[in-house]
Parts: sequence; C-alpha cells; structure tokens
Amino acid sequence: MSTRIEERVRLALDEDVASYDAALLSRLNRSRQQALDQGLAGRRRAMHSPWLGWATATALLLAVVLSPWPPASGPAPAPTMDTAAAGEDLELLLAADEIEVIEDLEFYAWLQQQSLDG
Amino acid sequence: MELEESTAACRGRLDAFLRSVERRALRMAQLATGNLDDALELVQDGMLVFVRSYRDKPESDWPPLFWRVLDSRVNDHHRRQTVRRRWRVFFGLGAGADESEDADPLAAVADANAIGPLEQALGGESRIAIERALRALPDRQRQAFLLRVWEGLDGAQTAKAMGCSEGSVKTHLFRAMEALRKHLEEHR
Repeated sequence: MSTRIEERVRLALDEDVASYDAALLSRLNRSRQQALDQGLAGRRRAMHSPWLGWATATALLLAVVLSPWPPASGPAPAPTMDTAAAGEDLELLLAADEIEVIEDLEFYAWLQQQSLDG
Repeated sequence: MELEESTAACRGRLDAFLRSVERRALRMAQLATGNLDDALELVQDGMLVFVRSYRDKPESDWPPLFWRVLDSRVNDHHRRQTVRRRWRVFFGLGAGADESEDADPLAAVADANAIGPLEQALGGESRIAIERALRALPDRQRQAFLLRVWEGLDGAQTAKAMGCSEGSVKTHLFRAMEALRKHLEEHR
C-alpha cells in the first residue's frame, strides 16, 4: 500500500522527468546511441584501456616517489598519506572492471536461483 | 544477412529498453551527484557497460541488471571523488570540497540545500522541498526508496541491484520514508 508521501514524491519525480527540455533529451539520445554503437561493436572506451590505466598508475607512483616527503615548501602543513592508502587508491581507480566481473557472477547465481525457485 | 537483421533487432530492443529507463536513470544519478553533467556521464557509461555485458541476456533480466550497473557506477563515482580529493589535499591543491578526507564515500551526498536547474525552472515550494528531502537522504536510503517506490522493483530485485540483503533494503526504505515524512511535514 503506497503512502501519501510516496505518491507525492513519485508524482513530483514523474513530472520532473516529463518536463526535460529538448536540449537535455537530445543529449540523452546521443548518449544512448553512442552507448549502443560502442557496446554493440564490442569496443571498449579509451578511458578503460589497460594501457591508460597502467600509465596513470605509473605516473602517480612516480609522483609519490619523487615528491619531497614532506613537501619542502608551502604555507600549509603537508598532510601525510601512507603507502598503503596510496596503494588502495590506485587499486580502487584501476579495479572497477574486475569488481564488475565478480558482481556479475554473483548476480547470475542469484538469477539462476530465482528461476529454479520460480 | 541474417546476422545483420539479428543485430538490428537486438539494437532495436536495447534502444527501446534504454529509452524507457533513461530519464529516470538521469534523475537518480543527478540526485546522487548533484551535477547534471556528471549524471549524464554516469548514465552513458552505465548504458555502455549494460549493452556490452548484458545485451544477450533475456529481456526480463534487463531492469535489475541495468540498475545494478548504474548503482555500481554511482558508487564508483563517489569513491573516485574521495580519492581525487585526498590526492589534491596531499599535493597541497586544496580539497575543493568541504568533506573531510576520511569521510565515507558511500554516505557522501550532494549539497542538500542546492536547488537544481529543473527545480528552478519548475518552481513550487513543494517540488523544492521534495528535491531537498531526497538529496538529504544518505545514498543507500535514497537508492532503496527510488528503486522500490519509483522504479517499482521488488525487494529481491532491489537487493541485488544495490548489492545488499533484502533485510537491508527494508531498513533503508523504512529510514528513508521516516526521513522524507519528517522533512516534508516540516516544509508543508
């Protein structure tokens, strides 16, 4: 049973999306067509290229290694970042696709269970 | 020839599905990020991953799969924002935001008091109050509310789209409803 609050919010959101202007709808349409073109062609976006990822990782690591520790100048005291945190950050920036694969496997196990239960 | 027809048919079905969800996806992403350009980028990225990974799955599976991809993209966006801020602070460039570096990225929300361009254009105190109330919710609560109440996913589908248990969805939804009720009653 839906409550008055739910109805009110749902109505407001429906009106919001129904009132998107032509320019925004055009951008959405372009985004969709681009996703279909690239997705169906099986191409990966340049930003997800492993070379770009490794290049970024290398550049960041070099920046950490070569930067003064702590920085020699500057008005503000330099915050510290331990190498473990930096490593986690790099891992996070580079690992999105691997996470997806794991999540997908989990998700399909669930879908299969749903169809067996159903 | 058959392959071309099959690809065209597949593209048509995917196009129709994505067209049916794209406006709501954009609205949800905008509520999560507080920025229209970021939201558009997340939606496009989500569509691309969805098409690339799930185009051959049964159409009945597409809705929870699509929302799972978008949810993952939004969470990833928040994490990357946090990482970028931390590195900016580290290199003395300033945080560029008012959040501390150890803030929980998943709890990060857009400025609760900011009014989006749509709200300005549409006007109305009620609409503005709803916008603010939704933005003020923690991400997980807002996501549970929008997927269950607006998108119409059931509990199990919402749980998988959010990567949590059905019990957690119920808890997030209950808290979201309480917060929205409180906020909107205060702004009557």
